[in-house]
Amino acid sequence: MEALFSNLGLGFTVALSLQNLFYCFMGVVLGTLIGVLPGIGPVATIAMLLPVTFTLNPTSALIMLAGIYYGAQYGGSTTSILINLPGESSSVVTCLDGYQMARQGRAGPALGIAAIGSFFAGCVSTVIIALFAPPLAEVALKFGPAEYFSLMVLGLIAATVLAHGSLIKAIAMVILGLLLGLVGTDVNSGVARFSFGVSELSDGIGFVSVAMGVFGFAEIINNLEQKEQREVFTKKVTGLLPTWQDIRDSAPSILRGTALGSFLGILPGGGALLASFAAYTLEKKVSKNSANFGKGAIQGVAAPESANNAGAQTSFIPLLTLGIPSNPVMALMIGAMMIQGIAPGPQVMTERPQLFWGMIASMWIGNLMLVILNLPLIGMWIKLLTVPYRMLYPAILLFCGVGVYSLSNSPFDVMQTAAFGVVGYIWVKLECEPAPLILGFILGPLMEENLRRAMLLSRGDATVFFQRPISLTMLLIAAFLLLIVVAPVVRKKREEAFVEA
Amino acid sequence: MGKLIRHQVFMILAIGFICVAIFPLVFIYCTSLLIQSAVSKQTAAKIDKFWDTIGKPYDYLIKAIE
Repeated sequence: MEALFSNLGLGFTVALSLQNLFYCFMGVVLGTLIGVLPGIGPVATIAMLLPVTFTLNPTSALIMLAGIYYGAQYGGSTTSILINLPGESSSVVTCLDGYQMARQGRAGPALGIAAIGSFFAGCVSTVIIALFAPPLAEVALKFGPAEYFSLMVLGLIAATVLAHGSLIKAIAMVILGLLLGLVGTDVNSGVARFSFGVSELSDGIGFVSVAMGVFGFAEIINNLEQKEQREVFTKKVTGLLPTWQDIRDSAPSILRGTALGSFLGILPGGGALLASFAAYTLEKKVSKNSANFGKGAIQGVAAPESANNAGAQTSFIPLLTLGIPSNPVMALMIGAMMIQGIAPGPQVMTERPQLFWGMIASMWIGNLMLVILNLPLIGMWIKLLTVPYRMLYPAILLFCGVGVYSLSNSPFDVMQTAAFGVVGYIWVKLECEPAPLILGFILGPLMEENLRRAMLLSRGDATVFFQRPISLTMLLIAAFLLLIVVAPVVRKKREEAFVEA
Repeated sequence: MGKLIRHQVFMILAIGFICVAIFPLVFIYCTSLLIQSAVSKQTAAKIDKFWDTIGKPYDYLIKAIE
């Protein structure tokens, strides 16, 4: 416990430095901004900002990117409640009761309880990270290449099983991601693979190009198709502070949402989206007045908003301790770490304690900044909703183009990003989620590296993966997950979990 | 302008107070809900009344700020 407090002390010293405070603030402001604006999510924003982080020090860069992610969870609720349009995918369920509350003239308490619930969940999940990440990292330090390989297999399968949408398409996208990760020079033999004589591909396909293309450009192209309909329901929001009755009604929902969100955030494939859907479904089931859900029940706002924030933050646990991304945002964070020359994994905590604990401490500070940003300054965000897309999107595209070019001053990267943008748009049209692709793309080279290392150590004996108990357990869980998800009953339930909410 | 700034300052103070108070409140209130479900109806009503009494000053404060 003493070590925990001294580590947290170190974290606050790092997070409270003027520079890191500034980047934390920038992150949460940007996060709220993109959360408020429908059509642009945290994945796209983080993908677009990856080139910018190149020039920052690693701690500031990761503090800012983390701020964007959890800031977007706060901001997403504003549009859900006021215009019935989720600014962020994890705020979809908030629309159901939040907008109804706004229609009843209770937009203020809805926004208030969303912010307070998010703050509570954010702080509790930060405590969970601080408590559970160090012991988990210690366990992870004992992992060998075989365990890492099996863990990544489990991570990819769990991400596919828990992903939203068609299972077959998710598996196809994971495999495509793994294949894209193969492009480039083989580390062991030095032979160029699938580069087709293009010298720019000998280093592999750029992570920033793929991420920015399929998440940024494709999302913008797709949004241009949608008709712009943004009528702000409540122009002047009053009564932001919830009444005592509102707090009493929401307290159990906030607690349940936080607990469920914190748990689901840690699971591979989990995170904010799954957490908010599951929390809403749970709340509807345990409520004595489930008939009120969808008609403006404050619990229907409190639970998913707490859960999505808790899930967003605890999804940092697998990233910081095992170096395994549990969702696409975490995959981008790994990309950002790699750009900075940091090998993600348990050694981050021991080798770079200022980064690890600085980021945890910044989450507390960021959460406090977010409550202030999202409640008293709500009017500013509402005004922002009136900015037309026709002005917003060209500016974002220009910013992205400059960002990609500045990475290595190469026009090839810009073309590559544009190509992935077009391909990403086709995937959107085919209803193929790009999230599993980016997980496969990030984990592919890491999996290959660990597979080859394990095979070298075992002198080509593939049974090494089944001989080591931890590795075997993880492979068995992965096989079990695959088996149960193809069972018709489970498959139906999986689809229902997203539809019901 | 002065009134607006005063309102914003009060608002931030109130939010700060809620943010600090929300942690013990959520845990204690949820525990009391559990207790209420286990005790007699009369005792449960008494606990309910206790929470109502606690909330009155809060509601007055919120009204004053808004």
